[in-house]
Amino acid sequence: MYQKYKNGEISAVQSFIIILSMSIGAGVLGLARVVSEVSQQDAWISVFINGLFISFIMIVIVYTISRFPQYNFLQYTSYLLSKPLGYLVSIAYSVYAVLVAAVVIRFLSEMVYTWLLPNTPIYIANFIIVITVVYMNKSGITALARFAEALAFLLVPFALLIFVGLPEASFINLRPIGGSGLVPILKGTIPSFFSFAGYEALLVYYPYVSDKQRPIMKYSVSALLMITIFYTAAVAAQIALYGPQEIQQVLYPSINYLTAVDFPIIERTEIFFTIFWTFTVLVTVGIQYMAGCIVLQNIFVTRKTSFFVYLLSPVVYLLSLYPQNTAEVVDYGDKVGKLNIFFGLLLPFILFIMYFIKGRKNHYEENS
Amino acid sequence: MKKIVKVFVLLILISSLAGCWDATDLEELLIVYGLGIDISNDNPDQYFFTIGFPTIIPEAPEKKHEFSTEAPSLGRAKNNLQQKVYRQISYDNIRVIIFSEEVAKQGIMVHIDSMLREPLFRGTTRFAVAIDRAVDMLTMEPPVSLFISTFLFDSIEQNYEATLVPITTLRNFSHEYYADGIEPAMPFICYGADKTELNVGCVALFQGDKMIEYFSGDNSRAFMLLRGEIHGGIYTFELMDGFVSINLKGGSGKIKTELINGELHIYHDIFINCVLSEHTPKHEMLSANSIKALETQLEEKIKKSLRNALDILQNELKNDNIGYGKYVKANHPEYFDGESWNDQFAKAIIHVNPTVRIRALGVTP
Repeated sequence: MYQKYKNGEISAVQSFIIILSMSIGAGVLGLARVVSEVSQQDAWISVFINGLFISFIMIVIVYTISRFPQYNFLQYTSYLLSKPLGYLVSIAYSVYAVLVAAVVIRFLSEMVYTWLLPNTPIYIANFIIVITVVYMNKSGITALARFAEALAFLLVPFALLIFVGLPEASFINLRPIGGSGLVPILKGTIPSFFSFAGYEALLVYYPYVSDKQRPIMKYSVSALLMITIFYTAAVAAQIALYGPQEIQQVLYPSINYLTAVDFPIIERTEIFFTIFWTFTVLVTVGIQYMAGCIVLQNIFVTRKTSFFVYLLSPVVYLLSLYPQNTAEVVDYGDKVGKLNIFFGLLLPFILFIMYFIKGRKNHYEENS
Repeated sequence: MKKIVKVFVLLILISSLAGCWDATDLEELLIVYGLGIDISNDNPDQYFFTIGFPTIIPEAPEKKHEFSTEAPSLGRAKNNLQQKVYRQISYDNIRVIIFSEEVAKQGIMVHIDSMLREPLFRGTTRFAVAIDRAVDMLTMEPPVSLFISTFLFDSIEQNYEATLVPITTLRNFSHEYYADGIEPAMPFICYGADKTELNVGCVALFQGDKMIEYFSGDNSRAFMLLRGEIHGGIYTFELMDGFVSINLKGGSGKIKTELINGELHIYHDIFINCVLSEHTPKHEMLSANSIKALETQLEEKIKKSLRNALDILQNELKNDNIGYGKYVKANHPEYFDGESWNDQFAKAIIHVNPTVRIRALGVTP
């Protein structure tokens, strides 16, 4: 039987912060470029539509898992999909979580290498990041959630940085609105979908929410809507500055955007941004890594997650060193991001449908 | 055992405090303020790069110095220049980059790639074209400033505020180069009466990354008005057998486009706010009718000046440095052709309509 909260617990508000911190991460750096490659000046519309769609997926996720408040990830997937499939999905999720953590660590170290510490070898930067992530996670989910909560305040100045480049921006670059056509706008939602990746971690974290009587559905959807507004505004501002053609020449428009104007007091706005971004991404990595460890704990029924936190650290470290250059990092990022189609899109709908086919009857029977 | 582990971890953490042992202090850097790019005199296939920098060290005989090198590209030049100095060269704080007219006419994108690729290279570094060799400009002693690069940087700013030249940075040159519907422009620096006097009042016009012409005098101010970059500055006209000067106090532009029978019409309204700063014809100006009459006369004069600049752009150069193409692209995407926009621009019918509003007359009637 599932032992409730043996691994710690989080509050409903912390689950809101976890979703918020989880989704704002590495994806924001090149988001405007990859989406505008498809939907040109209407990239911000693609991001907005995608955000609304993901909010809908979140409703499906919370609706389904809230029917199984006592079950962990392995238990409810086993119940809804059958035991072998439940184990298979759980193992696949933990592999996915480790891969995502490794890729995001590498994105982070690439940024640190490019902007902050160009003389520090990548393997040293990665090592320090992995140590930090292990330290964040070793005491369990409660400590991690508190860390995310403490750093959530950094998201405010992070979001305000959108306004830095506006004096140089020209909104004519966003016109004609809708001019790229409906099909490109819809196609543009695909690359933007990967930038939101991470919200599906709630599938793993939900059982650990202590105050489930709070409106978690409202919190989760609000978190995603906030991210949607932030991403849409960021992409619109970047396209207003660069235009859809120039932005294709900029690898990380979110950072370069800040170099458009001389800012009073802060000499290097982009480095200021990178500092906030570094902490935000550290939380992203921590949450994703912890999700993988929790699922492994579910599978192997260990007392604490710390065993897996230590065990997986060399694996994540070595995986993060695997890409040989920036192009490979972007390439691996794309490949791992595509796995999100299963965990972030297909799995929630499959579980939802299975709940109606199988779970609903049983659940009501249990309660009656 | 736990204590030993804790001490061990502490020792490892303390070791990170030594992380700055090989850091480079500011005094050890050679911080470049200005970069000049010319065609090499000896070898026309090569470029001649000049950097200007403050010497920092108090005992140095001069407060600033310049180094030059011949190289096929900026990347190679950086390498050559590093071999000539004993300090590490930092290009992260360059204030101004001067291209000689000859280099600008050959195309400058080949030099800009290295700047765009370098993460710490400032997006706000200012660009300008020099009428002569950039090296001469960077080695001259400016009359009222220690560093020529600072002098040029501030002069560009002043002339921008005087509605004479645009401020073109690395970032917005890149934008105007890549974006459809607009061609780049940047300040063009000429000499004054002699080579010790600089005149930052002209505008170099580019097609792609190649300079094709420059505007001076009324044309460069008309160019700024057309671009909607209306700030300040004194604008003088010969009117009524005398001189009338207005002090610009900002303004704006409004561009509308229309397709009539397959022909592109561009309606450009320019609103100019000003105060009267000189009026040598002896007329009483303190009446609504006099002001209205003067405004109408000024509008006609300005319209002529704008028309003249537009004629050069449309008919002689066939080059849209104003950016009308962006509006046409936004309003008539089916008509706009990014590849041949300059041809479409040359055929467009532009209705330019300035409106002058005199807000104050000074302290005499």
